[in-house]
Amino acid sequence: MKNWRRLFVSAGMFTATGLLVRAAVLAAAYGVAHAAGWRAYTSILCGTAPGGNPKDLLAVACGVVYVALHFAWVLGVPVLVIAGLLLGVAERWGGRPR
Amino acid sequence: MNLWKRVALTAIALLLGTAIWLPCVRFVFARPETDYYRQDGVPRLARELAARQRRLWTEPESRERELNRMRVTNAEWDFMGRTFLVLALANLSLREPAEAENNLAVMDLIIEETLRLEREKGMYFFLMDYARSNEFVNQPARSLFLDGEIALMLGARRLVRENEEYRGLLRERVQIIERSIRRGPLLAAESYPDECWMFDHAMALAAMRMADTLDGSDHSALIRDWLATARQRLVNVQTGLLVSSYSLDGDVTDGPEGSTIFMVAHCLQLVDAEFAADQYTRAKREMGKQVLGFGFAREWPQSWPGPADVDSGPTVPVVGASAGASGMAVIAASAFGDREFLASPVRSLDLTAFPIRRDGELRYGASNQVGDAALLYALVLGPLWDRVR
Repeated sequence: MKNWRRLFVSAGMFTATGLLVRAAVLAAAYGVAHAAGWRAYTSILCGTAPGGNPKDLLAVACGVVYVALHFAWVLGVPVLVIAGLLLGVAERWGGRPR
Repeated sequence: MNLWKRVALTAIALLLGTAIWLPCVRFVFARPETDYYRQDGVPRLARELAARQRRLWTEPESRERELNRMRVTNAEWDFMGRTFLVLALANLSLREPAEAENNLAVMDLIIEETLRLEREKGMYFFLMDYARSNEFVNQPARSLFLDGEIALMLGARRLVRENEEYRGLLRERVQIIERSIRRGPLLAAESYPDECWMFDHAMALAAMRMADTLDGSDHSALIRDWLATARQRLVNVQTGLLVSSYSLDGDVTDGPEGSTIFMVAHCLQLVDAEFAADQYTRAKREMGKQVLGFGFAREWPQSWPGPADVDSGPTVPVVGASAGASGMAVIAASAFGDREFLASPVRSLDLTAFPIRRDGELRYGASNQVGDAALLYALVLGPLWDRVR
């Protein structure tokens, strides 16, 4: 865990490794939300309370977070991976970032 | 490499990544056409959806939980979920006669339970609360929403297999509808106090056509007059589309809406095929959209902007995609054999509706019973309407 945190911080925002690490973090977060069964809470999108109680804000929050992570997985992660690979080529060609 | 150069390179890489990935997403969600469209037999998605819907109705606990979940937001969804499921099961029975017995048992369960609730709790049980805020203009109060869809359920059931008890019930219900519609010069009946809905009229007309097919009655004159009046008084000038709601005097409350017009066009197929096709073409032009291969429908045309409401469901900002309108668009695309357009909202379902599969059953996480039942109907419709045409 510590190694991951160190890698996340030390990789930097604007490096190939940094983009790939962020893609991995988003993918892992989506995996956790999926395994936790939060997909069922997405019924908030059709105006139906996930557990039948519209005042259950925790359930609504789970639905919102799942939707955000789903789109991060489908749209964000591949973009980060492609960008990371392209940036990796650029770094090799133009010299490693200091 | 200095910081600014790194930031610029990262931004360029992200832009390139976006430009490369976005056009590819549609291929990730592509599925064979036989999953969702088949002339004969049952598409895979329909089979999985039907398994879950049938189980909901045969397990009282699951049914109660699911229906109550919807009723908290909208009692109408409880009722419409029943209609769509009965229509879907009728089509499934005609597509796979070997399964008809199981389907008929569920259809009868739904119809009997619905009639019992209407009898014991009254029509308000299936209406939204505001139905009680005013008196119905025409007395005794009737809601065409209920009468039309109950008649449709009875007709659909009988078109699969005759049921003597339902014969009388259908005749009685169609007579009530006819009386309600004939009461005013606009040939309009209320669904809510002084509120008439195109959706409900189209469903009621389809039910009348079913009754004519089954019992040899003849409502062609009423249907002809209704169509003439609707064309003259209830068409939006800018779009040429039928409006959604109006008063008994013909004052338009809501213009054309995606969650209404697509289903209306489908029902009009039994009444005036040419007019129906024209309405579908116009509705698709005004409200059907595709972005990067993902299809959806807007609730409102550009010329008649309106708010998100309980019919549209939440709408996606900027593009205006509406869950309710998109679901109805799938029904219409399937009904009019528009396979090219049909593929795109089905693809959107996999991206945005969060399919959940378990033990051979399918439901959509972002949907509910009525949404799944409407989708099931979209995937199997055809044979029932063919029996009436």
